[in-house]
Amino acid sequence: DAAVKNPVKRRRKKDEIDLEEEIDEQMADLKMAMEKACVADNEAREQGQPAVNKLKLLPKVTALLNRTAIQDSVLDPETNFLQSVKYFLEPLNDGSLPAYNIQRDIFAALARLPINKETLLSSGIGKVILFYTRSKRPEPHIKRTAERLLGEWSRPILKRTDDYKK
Amino acid sequence: PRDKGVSLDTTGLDKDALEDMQAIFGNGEEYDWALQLEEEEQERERDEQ
Repeated sequence: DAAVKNPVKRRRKKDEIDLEEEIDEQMADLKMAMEKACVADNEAREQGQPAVNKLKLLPKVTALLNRTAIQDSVLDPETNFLQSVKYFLEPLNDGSLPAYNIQRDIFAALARLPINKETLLSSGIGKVILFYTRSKRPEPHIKRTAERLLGEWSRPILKRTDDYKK
Repeated sequence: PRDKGVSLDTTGLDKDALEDMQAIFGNGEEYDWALQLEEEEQERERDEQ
């Protein structure tokens, strides 16, 4: 009955839900592939082979991170896509950093995202960003971005204390 | 001494904010193992020169 009264509206709603489900599924698949790539890269390193698994996935990861239309899903603490992004940035078991392109593209994407406290708490991505400010390995501009992100992400929390004092 | 990067000055923070800071950025020890490996590698490089 509702479909007859307002077929367009009903149709659009259904399409939106389909799209959301599709994105969720896509993200879940990618998360799994990302975690596998991290393990595979560590294994490759241990065998003295080049670690290329994360690099191969990188275009897919950045494409998702940079799609503004699905930003809410990307930042959703429950989907926790940024946790997989954190794994991508983590040092490998031998202490080396992931490939420069991975650092460059992911830091650039992170700098564009409006990351809130809930996303930070669930993903743990702040911890790896702190590491990049401390390590001597990253390129200077990567370190600068890490420092900037650290400042941006901590500001709302620090500000709350200031407000409280007043 | 190690470059601590940006220092997160937590003096004067209330308890909740301090907990949030730690939960989000960690206690600074999460990746100490990697920093340790980095230092060892640098020492080796210095010795080789």
